[in-house]
Amino acid sequence: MIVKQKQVYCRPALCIGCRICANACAVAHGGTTNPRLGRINVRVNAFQRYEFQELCRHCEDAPCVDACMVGCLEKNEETGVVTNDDRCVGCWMCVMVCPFGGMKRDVLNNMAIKCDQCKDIEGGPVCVQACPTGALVFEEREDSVEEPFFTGPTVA
Amino acid sequence: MNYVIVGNSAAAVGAIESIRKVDKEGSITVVSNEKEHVYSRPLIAHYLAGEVSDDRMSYRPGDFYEKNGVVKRFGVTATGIDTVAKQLNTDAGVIPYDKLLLTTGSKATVPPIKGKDFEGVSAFQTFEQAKAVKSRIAPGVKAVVIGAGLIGMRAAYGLEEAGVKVTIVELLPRILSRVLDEKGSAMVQSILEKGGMKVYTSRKVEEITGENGQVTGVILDGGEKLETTIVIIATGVAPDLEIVKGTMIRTNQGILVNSYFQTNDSDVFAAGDVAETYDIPRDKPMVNANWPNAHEQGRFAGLNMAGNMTAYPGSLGMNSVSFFGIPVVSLGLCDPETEKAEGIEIKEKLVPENDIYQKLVFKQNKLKGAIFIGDLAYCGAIKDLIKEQMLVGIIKDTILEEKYQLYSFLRKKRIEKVEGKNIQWPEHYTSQQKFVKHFDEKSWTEREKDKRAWK
Repeated sequence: MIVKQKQVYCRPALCIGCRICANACAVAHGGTTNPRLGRINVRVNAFQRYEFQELCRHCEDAPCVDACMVGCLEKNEETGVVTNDDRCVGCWMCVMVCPFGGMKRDVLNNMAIKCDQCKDIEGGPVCVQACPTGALVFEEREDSVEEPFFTGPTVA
Repeated sequence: MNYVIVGNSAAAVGAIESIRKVDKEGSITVVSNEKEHVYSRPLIAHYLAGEVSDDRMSYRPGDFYEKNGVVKRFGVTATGIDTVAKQLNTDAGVIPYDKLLLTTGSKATVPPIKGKDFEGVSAFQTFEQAKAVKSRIAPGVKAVVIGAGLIGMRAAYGLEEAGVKVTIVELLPRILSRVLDEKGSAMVQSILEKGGMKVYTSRKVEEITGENGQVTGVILDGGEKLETTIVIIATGVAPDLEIVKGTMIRTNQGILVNSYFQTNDSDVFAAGDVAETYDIPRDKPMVNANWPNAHEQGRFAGLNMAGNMTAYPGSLGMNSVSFFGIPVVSLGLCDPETEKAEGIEIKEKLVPENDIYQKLVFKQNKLKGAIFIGDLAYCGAIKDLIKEQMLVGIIKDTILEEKYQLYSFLRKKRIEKVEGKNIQWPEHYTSQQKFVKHFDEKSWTEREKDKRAWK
């Protein structure tokens, strides 16, 4: 499902779970300093260790684009970036179908929010720019299917 | 290649887009009995509420058809198919086809209630009907919605948002009986009642009264009279099979299709709410009428029509709706009691004071369905687990816990992690026989056989 194109990846060995990426994202896109409203969210497990980033993967045949009943989610054919727009009415169909948790609910504005890879911001994604340890990278990977899912042995 | 598509909604759009990905030259004709540009049907409730204006109703941009080179035949009703001569009969002449796609969707079934022909009484399915209802909204107006299914509830909530006092009348003992279980229904009903809507369950509408052709009220069983100027009848929908009547195309509940969306005539395809496809959690063919499935099925059907044969893995009943800011999601087989499913195990979390209800339905270490009310938590990942029918045996108890990191398991890795590497995995089966003594080979083969029979 993950498409081979430039994506934001987390290098787990470097991530300290500080959530500065989420905060920077919320500031850049929503104008608030609430990491919960960041389009990226690196989750940490009970051992305070990086586990998984909730972030849009800009899927090929994206299920959210299928599910969007308004037609406001669309995948750009040239750049491959899936974007939402202000027509969103907050039906949460996309939240229901996204297996990566890349769609989040902004309850105040009644809109679904998602990563647009900072397409309008100079210098690329703000989360990558803000990451203090350099754990986040914006690159195209060969093994983009397996890499971001699993980060070594953890306790189930 | 000459593609003809009957119907103009989610599945048709999906088909047009995917045909154009493969075949840039073939001609595409869309035949639809509605005159509007493609619009979003579920959005008409939001239109009623005033959240969405007229110009924002369209599902795709205004130049969608021109950009994709589609010949529009709007306002034309398809009446039948001549599968031998490969012609679509319409009320405006015949249209020849090479590949035909039927996406006629479903139509409302209106019960024979006395007085249903008064002005102000309508079903709630098309933009036209929504416009008619909206034109009757004025301050102080009351409305009655007959039927508390998803369409009825969406309409009722839309009216409520628009400032209309709404009463819902349902024949069955609980609301949303097709998508929620008993506890979920009770919770949603209490949410609605807290919000100021009136819900009558186990009540029947005897008669709709009117004067001078305009509706004035509704009489319930027992003689109770409700005054109203708007009546919405939303007692159910059924696949619109009008067009295939009298042809060789086989139908059951919907049009029967294989996993390539072909009907028993290999040049006639069907997708969307009208098609009966393989339902993953229930493991049998079923009509799953919802927007995400329709678009997805249209996409697959389009690929198959254009010659890029791609098998469809199956559909999943799912729906999302929210009332007074509280989201409600239902996935797959979520009410095993009513459906009389066997071998079911249920895990649930209920916090009535916060309006939170989460429920997971398991069968043989696989997730079959889920309900999320109030807190959507991991519902996307859960939907993925249901759709892939992954083995989730040992996380049954912890899956609903707040801190559980389900997102760290995805696809194959998630199975490996959840069930261990040495377990019940067909491609590892021969090399790991000593670990899989409890693996029931017969059940696997039978399951595979059934799947093949369907395909």
